[in-house]
Amino acid sequence: MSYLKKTLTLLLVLVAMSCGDVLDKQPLDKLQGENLFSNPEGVKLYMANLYYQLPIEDFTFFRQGFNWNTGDPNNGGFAPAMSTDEAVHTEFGDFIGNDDFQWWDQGYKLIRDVNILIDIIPTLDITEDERKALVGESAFIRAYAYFALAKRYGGVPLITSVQKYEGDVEALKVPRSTEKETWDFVLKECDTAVGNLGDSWPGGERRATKWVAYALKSRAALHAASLAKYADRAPISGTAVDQKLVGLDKAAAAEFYKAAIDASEAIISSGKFNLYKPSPATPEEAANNYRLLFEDPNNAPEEVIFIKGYARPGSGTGHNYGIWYQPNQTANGWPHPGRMNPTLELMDVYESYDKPGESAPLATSAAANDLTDYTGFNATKQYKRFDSENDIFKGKDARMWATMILPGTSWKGQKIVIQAGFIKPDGSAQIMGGDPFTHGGTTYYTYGASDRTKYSGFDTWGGNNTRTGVSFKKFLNEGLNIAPGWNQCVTDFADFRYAEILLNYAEAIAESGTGDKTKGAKALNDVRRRAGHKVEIPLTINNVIRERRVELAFEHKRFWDLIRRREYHTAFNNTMRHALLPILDLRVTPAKYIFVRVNVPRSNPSTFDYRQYYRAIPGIGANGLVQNPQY
Amino acid sequence: MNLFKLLLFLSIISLSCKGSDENPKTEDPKPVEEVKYDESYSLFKSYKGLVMAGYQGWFTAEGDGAGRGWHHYQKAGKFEPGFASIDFWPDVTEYSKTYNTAFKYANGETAKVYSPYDEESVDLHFKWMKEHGIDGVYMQRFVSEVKGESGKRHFNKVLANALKASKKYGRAISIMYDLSGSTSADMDFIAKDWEELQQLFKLFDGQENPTYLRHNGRPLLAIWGVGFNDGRKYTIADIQKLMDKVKGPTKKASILLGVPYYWRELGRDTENSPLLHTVIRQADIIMPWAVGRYNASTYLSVAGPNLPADITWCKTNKIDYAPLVFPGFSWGNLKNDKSLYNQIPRNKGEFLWQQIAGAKMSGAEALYVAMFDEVDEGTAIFKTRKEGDTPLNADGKFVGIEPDLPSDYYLWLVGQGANWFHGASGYGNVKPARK
Amino acid sequence: MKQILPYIPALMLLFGTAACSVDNYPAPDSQLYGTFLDAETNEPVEQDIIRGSTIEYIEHGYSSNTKQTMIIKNDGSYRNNLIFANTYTITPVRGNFVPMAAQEVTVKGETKLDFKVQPYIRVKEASIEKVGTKIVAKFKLQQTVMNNVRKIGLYAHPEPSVGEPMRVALAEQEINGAIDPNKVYQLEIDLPSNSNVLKTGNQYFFRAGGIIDAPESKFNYAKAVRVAL
Repeated sequence: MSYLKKTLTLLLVLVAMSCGDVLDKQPLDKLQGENLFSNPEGVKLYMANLYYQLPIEDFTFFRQGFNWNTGDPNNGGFAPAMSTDEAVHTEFGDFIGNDDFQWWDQGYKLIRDVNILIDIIPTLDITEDERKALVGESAFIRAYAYFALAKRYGGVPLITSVQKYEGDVEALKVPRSTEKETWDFVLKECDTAVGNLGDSWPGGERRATKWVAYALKSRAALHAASLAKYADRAPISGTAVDQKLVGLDKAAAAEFYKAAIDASEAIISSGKFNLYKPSPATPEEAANNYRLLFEDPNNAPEEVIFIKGYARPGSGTGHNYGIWYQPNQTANGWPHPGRMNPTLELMDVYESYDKPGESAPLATSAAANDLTDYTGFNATKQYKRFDSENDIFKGKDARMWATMILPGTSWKGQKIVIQAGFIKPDGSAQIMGGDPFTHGGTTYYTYGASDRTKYSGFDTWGGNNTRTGVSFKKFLNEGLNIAPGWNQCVTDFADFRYAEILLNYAEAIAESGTGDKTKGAKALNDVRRRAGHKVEIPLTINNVIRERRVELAFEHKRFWDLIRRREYHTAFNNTMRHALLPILDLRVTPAKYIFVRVNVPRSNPSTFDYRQYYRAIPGIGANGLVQNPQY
Repeated sequence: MNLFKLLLFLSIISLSCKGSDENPKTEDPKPVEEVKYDESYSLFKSYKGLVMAGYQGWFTAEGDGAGRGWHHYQKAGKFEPGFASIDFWPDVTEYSKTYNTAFKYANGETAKVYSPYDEESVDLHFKWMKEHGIDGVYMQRFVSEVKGESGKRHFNKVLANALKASKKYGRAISIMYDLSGSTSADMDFIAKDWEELQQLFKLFDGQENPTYLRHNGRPLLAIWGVGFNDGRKYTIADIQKLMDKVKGPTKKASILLGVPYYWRELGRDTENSPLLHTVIRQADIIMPWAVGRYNASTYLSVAGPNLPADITWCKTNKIDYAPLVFPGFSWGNLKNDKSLYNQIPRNKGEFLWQQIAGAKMSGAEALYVAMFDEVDEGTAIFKTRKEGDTPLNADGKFVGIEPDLPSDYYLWLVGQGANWFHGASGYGNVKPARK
Repeated sequence: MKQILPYIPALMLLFGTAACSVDNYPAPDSQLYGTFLDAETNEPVEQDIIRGSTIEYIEHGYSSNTKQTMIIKNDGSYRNNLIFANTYTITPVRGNFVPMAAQEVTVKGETKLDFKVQPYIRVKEASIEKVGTKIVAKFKLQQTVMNNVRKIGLYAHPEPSVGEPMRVALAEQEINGAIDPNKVYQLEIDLPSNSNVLKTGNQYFFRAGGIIDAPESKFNYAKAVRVAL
């Protein structure tokens, strides 16, 4: 029966695909350029398919791939953030496996498809302006694809024209280029795109422009520069290293940082972009602005550089953030909400307004080892007592309030209840479990409410309640109730936005010691001012990285930041991620809240191996390529 | 004689029978007795415990009699501002014979150079070695140069100067063939040239040449350039044959081989051929070429595990090992690229001492210093001009040693290393302070 | 053979004549085992079972030269009971010892192969004991190479395979320099502040060691000690 079901599903998918994918009806290897490309609609159609294949790390991206919104879109509510120190899943502890974060076959499929276009451009009967735009757009797509390959595999085969099979498989085998050559190629393709693309598209289409190409170059060059600068933090050996297929010389860092600075500066000095609502009067205003920016990036045309759009609910056209990540109380009928649990690590990083320039970890007591003591509630410890469940977060960066739903704050008209337990007047603790307790005429519940639809924390039921003490907010639209079904959410995703460019710029200047340090510091502080900070801080690498962690949280940057800066293996060396337990303290009247810093309940330590900085190349038995070290 | 012929005949028969056998056993009528030298006059019976430098001696000056123009100083046939292949300028204050050049100092004074073709200049170099306690030098013999008549005359003259000075100052001396640019066909030439040198200078005569370096009871010959994977036109097998010829059946000489840095792993700069290890086992000492393989910041991670692993390998295979140390590297003028001035900075000797200490602590027993007088690639330890006190060079420059150091500083520092290798105490990780 | 027979036609269809030889491969019938020994003291060199030193081996006779790997137990011994009799190129790599050359080894039946290595660090005169509410480790170190010692650590785990990669509690000290061979290093794990992972009444294994600052190096340790809390 189950077999039948699967077959049916497969058939359905195949049928659906053949309907949706007009192109596959024609044999691609015998494509006649004039047929498809003579007609502007044909070009558009072909381009749309290429853009669809772009490895954009948006809402449909996670460990196992891209565009996870067709066929069976059930990915368990996993997100890339859960492979980092930003978040954990409510239930599962999957970290990074060998088959994760792969993009090989799909990569070369996209490269082949774009090479078909590139080969055909010179023969098309179009105006020179149109030809230029096509050259630029296809170079942008190829740069994007090779960037995605290089950051996973290091040096890869550079295939720059359509390969034709003429009976000899061996003739099709292209060896890997060095990692240096591969990054150089990515940047060169960006240059071609920059040189040929215009400022914008006449109809305002979401297609690559000169500025999108600069933004891609800014990101890719910074990635390569950090790899070169920090390669010796995680040395590896093997044939691929000897042949320089993986690894960059330290000396290459300078040129890559310069490329990142130049590309970012081109965007900054163009005057075409700005931060969305750059100078809020209060932190509350800043929090609201920041939420609006992600709830719908179209609110902020001055800041977003490149958007991946979601047109309508449905397979391939909607995504699932809206169902997976609502707090349990606003599940709206979806059986498994609440799956993104921001960690205490991330909560700690946000600055507090009265101490600019440093992280403000959440202190729960005056004990000297307070921040490193994860042993759980201790009756003899003098915890700080707070009036409300979120007083401990007061004074911290507005973006924290806009990125996470904090305990006791309001969401969709409800007070979101996140409580791990209570301390009885006799000092005994009842944490994560146990019966209701009546005291002074009031009944107290472990999780803060009588019914499992009325709280959002710590109960293991359904894997629907946060186990870190906060729920997730960024990208979620407070004004919309998403229907409890697949692919019902249509929030657009900003792939490149101005704030990232400012931070790329600041980092490249801080790390290379070159460029204009005053402008670098301004870029950093502009981003902070938008978050309500009034005091400027100096341009240091620590300040930039902290700012990236909070400004770009959950935008899938942290994963690659840990990779490119070779910090993953130190961040995850038998590392536990942590949670903050809000607990009602009945030892005092009126009752107050205390907080306990603990290991994430029911979690295990995670470790990142050196070899994981490069993914294993699939299919080396057939493609004959040199495998990456230790696979 | 008849018997020998018969044996030869038999062995041919056996060869033709076996056909594919690659290593036919030569059936010697009786084992040849290995040569035994009287070493009672020799001052240096082993490389072990010595710190020796390489000596290029390839520079010439116009008017020095060598007839080779400004060899190795010049570039594109000219030695004038904008045209020089040297990065460091020799400090010729103490030389009795110097040559005016087209270069001038900022104050208008003419800049001068020396020529090793002159006996006086080589004498001065050996005098410095003695003053600072440096044990001696390997005289470089560039096959591609000595194949020509003028090259041969030049290098023989320099060698004559050096042999004389080495005796005068009691410094060790040995000959090192540099095979860069050679072909398979040159192997016979080298063997012949080496025989000639022995005759000409009575190199093996302990009384005549008490300072000629010996090792394992035999005079030592160094052959540099085996196993590099940079596209050389001779093979490892060629070197194997050359070694057989040099040693002969009576094992006339010991051999030092100059090999690439990653010789043990057979990767990176090294040809991936196990024959290299076979050949190395047939030699007496190896010296891996470390110039450019690391700098101050990568030294520990590159040489840290590599040196002791090399030394263990050599001990297991019963050969000796001499690591190379160098003060820094600079070849901006040679490569016409200003970014290559001070490519590997000297850092006032810190870099050099790091390597001396690293070699000592890894268990090395001898050192090879690259080089005594190499100013093209800026590895020279002898006296050179200081930064800010070099001749003008059009829009380029000359690199100098650090201005607050005395010009003999690197000679002194190598001498300190030699003291340590001779067994003196009080040395360690920290560069010694010069009082 | 009887059980396989019915499938042979199918195999023939799939592989053609290759099917016969597939069936004729012998099972791996040999064993390879041995110990990493300190070339100077002849004592076993302690290892980590996960993320530790690795033995790479390539079986001869296949053009693919596929590298296979073996792990090493904490006591420095290793064993592979399912290996084909053949000639192998074997190299211990990414270890806590000075890099070694590859060696060609013929494996047939019970084959013993010890590796004599130079550990980067020797942990000497080590003692680990419970003192009051602390676990205290004392030891001396001897480094055998010029590289800096990066850090030293004391690690705790319920299993005897405790080490830097496998611990529930730890005490570490950054060194980042040369060590003084005469100095007694001391590391302590405070039990009360680790009460969630080191529970009274249970027993745990503790192991102390240090790591050299060399590419891909691993920790060197003294032997693990069992302590009941």
